[in-house]
Amino acid sequence: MDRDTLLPAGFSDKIFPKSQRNSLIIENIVNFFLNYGYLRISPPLIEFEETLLNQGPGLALQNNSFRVMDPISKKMMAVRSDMTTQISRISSKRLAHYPRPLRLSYSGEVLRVNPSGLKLERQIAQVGAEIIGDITFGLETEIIVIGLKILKELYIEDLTLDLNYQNLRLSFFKSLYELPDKNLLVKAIEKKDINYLKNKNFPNKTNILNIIEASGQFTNKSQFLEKLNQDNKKNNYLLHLLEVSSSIQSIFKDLNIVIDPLEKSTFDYHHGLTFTIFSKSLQGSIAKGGTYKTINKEDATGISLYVDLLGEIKNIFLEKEKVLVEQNDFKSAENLIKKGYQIIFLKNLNNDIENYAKSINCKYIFKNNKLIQV
Amino acid sequence: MNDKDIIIALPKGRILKQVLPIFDKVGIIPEKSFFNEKDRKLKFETNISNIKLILVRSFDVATFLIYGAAHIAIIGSDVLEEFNHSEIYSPIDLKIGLCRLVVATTKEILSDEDPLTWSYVRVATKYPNLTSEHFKKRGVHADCIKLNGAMELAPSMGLCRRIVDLSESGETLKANGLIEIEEIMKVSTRLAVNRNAYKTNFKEINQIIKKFEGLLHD
Repeated sequence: MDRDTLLPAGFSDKIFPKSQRNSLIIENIVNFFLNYGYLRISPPLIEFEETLLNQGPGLALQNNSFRVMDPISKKMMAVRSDMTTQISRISSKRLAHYPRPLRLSYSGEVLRVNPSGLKLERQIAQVGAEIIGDITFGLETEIIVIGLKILKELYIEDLTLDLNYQNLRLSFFKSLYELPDKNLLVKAIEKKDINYLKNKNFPNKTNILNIIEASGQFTNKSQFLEKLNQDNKKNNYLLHLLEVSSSIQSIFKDLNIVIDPLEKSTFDYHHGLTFTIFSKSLQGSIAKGGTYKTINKEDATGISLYVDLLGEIKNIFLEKEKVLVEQNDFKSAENLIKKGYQIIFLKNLNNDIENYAKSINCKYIFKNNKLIQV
Repeated sequence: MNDKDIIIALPKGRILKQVLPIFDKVGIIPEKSFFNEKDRKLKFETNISNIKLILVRSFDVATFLIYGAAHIAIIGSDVLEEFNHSEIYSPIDLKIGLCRLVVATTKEILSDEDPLTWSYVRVATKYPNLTSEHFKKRGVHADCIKLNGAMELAPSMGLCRRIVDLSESGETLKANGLIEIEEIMKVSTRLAVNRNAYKTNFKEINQIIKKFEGLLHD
């Protein structure tokens, strides 16, 4: 019986090569952001519940966070379930006096009570970046484009960018709240059930249906505008979405962009533009983000990339070739490492070591100053 | 699986006979072995080279769809609601397979109980999520026993006080001495789509949706 090695649901030991691949991915993403002036910060894993969950974006995370009691202060603490809320706190307090726009990046593990979407893991590596300050469509474009560039750099092909606008959705939903069948209407909008909506009467019906029917592939701004009715053509939220779409498209010509303004964001704290990045080769969202308000009611926009999912692409980082080297021959070892090999020390290279080399997937032995193939 | 293939999942059993004429009208025609009940194959070609069909149990249709193994599915709204998953859109009500999800029990049990005093009830069902949500609304915790068939036997054999199951005409309930107490939801068969497929392959998936939609207006 191996019951004493059992882990709780949603938690797992990550073993090489996946664990190595994941940390390389994280490093690459954070370095990429650093090149664009995003400064790295590392908040703690645990905070007081009232600090982490009772303000700003944290409010939306109350149901999905683990709690533990602090034996020292006797206060309740919460384990972070999303790092954006911590960035919001830091930018509003400790970095409140720094010039805007403030560009920050972060990486860390988060714990979630309920796994979300397709992922059954409750411990997730989150990497991302945020811009805090006066958020223009230019800054929204910047963070999405950097995210897309990172994914290209990681050899992730066939990218689709899905763009939505939360305040547009909420402004329509507000007009439904008085109705007895509001839940069914909201559900029909979320599930894209056009026929159900057509047969009902509700405020903004023509505008909502027009947006759902216009949703889809973005080819260019004027073609999308043509599909909108007069009211929607003047809607600032929609115009904003189209502005961001065109400017991203002008940088990423072969990108598949889908505009779906009424799609719900998985993070309840977003109020402005939100987005999700998909790839045909990976099931689920590989990056998500959007615009929200910090604790100070400052505008901010951010992106999170899901490392565990990205790590499933096997060709992301090639493993280094292994070489067996005589124990403690650091001089040869360092030479080989400089040439790009990974070395493994062995006490005695003279015995029959072929089987051992094969068992650790090692193709070379360094013997008598020569690299010999096994 | 080819990258360009579009996989449509169909439920085995009762609904299938009503679904096939619709596929016929839409112009998706399965290969011959699909109609051979003795054939053990589960995946089939169609007259359209990049559209394939898979045939699975009605609850499994949802699982295949959620994980993206199928891109489009024909699925009961009972199963959709039971899974209630954010990765699925269900744009079209096909208005077939009409039935209701109901709570039922025997006369004998009914005559000897006071449900208002309940804090707890044991229910036999294939729908644990919908059942516990339904009873939760009135402050009753439902302990669900999962049965895969012969649900109607459970109350009279002392397994539970209630069953939650589909009822089309009410005949099966009646034949087993059961009385319908309340309706949880009306059920019909829908066309559903995997979110990832919808976003990354919008043009083709949307074309198929529009074809099905066209039928409803004829």
